[in-house]
Amino acid sequence: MRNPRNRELTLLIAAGAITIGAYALATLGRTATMPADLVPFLGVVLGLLGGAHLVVRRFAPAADPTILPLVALLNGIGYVFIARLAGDISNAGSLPGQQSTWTAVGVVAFTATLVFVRRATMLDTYRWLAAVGGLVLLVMPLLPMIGREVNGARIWVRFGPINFQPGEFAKIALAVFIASYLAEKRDLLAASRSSSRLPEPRHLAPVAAAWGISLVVMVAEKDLGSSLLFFLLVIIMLWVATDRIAYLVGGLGVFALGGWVAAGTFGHVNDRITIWIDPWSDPKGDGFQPVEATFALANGGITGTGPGRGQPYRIPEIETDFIFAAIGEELGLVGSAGVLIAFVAIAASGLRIAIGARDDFGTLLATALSTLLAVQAFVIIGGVIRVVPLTGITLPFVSYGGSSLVANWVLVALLLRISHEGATAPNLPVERERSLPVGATVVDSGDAS
Amino acid sequence: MSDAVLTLLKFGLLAALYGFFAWVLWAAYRQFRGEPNRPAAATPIRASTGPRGNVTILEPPELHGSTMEIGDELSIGRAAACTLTLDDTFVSQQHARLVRRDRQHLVEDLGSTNGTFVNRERITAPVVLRPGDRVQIGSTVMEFA
Repeated sequence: MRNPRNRELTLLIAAGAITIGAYALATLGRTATMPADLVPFLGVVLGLLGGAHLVVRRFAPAADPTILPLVALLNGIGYVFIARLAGDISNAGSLPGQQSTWTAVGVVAFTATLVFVRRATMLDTYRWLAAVGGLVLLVMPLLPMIGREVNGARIWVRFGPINFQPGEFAKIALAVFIASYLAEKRDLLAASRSSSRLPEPRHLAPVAAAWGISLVVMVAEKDLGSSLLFFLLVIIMLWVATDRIAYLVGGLGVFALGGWVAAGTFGHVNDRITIWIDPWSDPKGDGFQPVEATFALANGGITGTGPGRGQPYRIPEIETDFIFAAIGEELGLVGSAGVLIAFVAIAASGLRIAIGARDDFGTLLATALSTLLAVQAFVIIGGVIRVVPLTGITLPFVSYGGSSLVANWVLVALLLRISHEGATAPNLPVERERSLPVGATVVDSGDAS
Repeated sequence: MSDAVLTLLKFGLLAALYGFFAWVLWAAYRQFRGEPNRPAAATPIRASTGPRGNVTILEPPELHGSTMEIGDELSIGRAAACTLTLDDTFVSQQHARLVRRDRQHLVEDLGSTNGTFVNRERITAPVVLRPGDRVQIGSTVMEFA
């Protein structure tokens, strides 16, 4: 059992078994019969998890063994709830099929990422391409013809039959750019500690530009969740790169100020804050979702109604933004805390990968990717349980949504790549083409200078 | 199916979930503690009986004091694929390597242009290292211990 891959395999089997058990139990709870498609479902789960496992075994054999099983569990639980909700929502019959297709696409994207990104430093090389690509992806929904507005947020792009949210991929590209840039400039940014309070603006300019443009675009798209996520990401990365707490404190100060100004300027921001503080002021209108989500959590209590035995389907957007409320109702505090534990464990593994990474770029990128997952989970779960104002954003791996699922599988592949490199860097013999047997006499080439 | 059975199954599912987390925690702990590439328990024993099998950089000053375990092999060169990459124009891409054979550690030049020096003498064949020996590659000097 010293091989991390063997540990990963046993954990994956456990995650698959929990998924299958939850699926059977949800169908039992809802219809009092065993699911008719249990055997095909079993095949799909085992096929996807086994495939992902073999890819890691082949292309990142020394990577952390806990992340893939945790992701598999979240994806599995998410699917179980989407399938369970689809049975009770009209016109939602195609959701489970689409979600499983997107999960398969996600595993393929995971595979492609591990195959093509053989070294994390490859991403470092394409820093500016990542910056430009990220901004282009971000702007795409604003373009006429292809951009589309859904539920007030203009974050969709349509190419022929395919709809997707390019912002989900933009966040990874921008994380690569910022990690790469800060890895190079961190000394300059941190060194100004001695000379002046703030580093020279020109060192910060590219990051500030990427940050400012992204925020303006996200605000124009009314994509509050992504704005919040990206804002926090940049602040945390500056702090980690420079080890200067001033960035964190200052950033949060700017954040508070920005939030206050936004609440006064933009009607939709103000609405969110009003509803966050008192959803009962408009329980049938804007406050409907949070009020119903609160009732769902209350109905679930400590251990929940049991899968398939609650009524979470009455909440709008339950399969995407509000899926945490469905889990809270049917698995209770204990089960929904389990979802939180899974995210905390993934973030902890991600930060451990960051510490063990072989270079600064790896450290910063692993930190950024872990931050993206953890903050995104916090923003939407916090929104559902009214810890923070609600902003529409997916719960990674759990919510229904192809773009989010595929992008997050790519994100995890990058984390495993960094993890593998960190674990093989210090002491393992490096593969080499030319290896002289010890004892062979090395003839002095004689061209010493 | 009765409510009682469904409730029991629900508790079973929640228990399985938390069992899974405990297992993940254990795996993470094992991953953290038992790094497969660190020879467990061998290091302290060897410390009392012979060389520790590591090198400490003395020069250049900015790397002074960094210590590396040789392990089975430590390759040194300008190439990024080397275990120890030295950014120094006097260092060849694949310059030299430190290897462990049986209980001895050897330094071997890999056909470098500017040579590998042990205690200021250029080596022409693999040399067995003794504690205190100084290996020079380009402008980097390290001491074996």
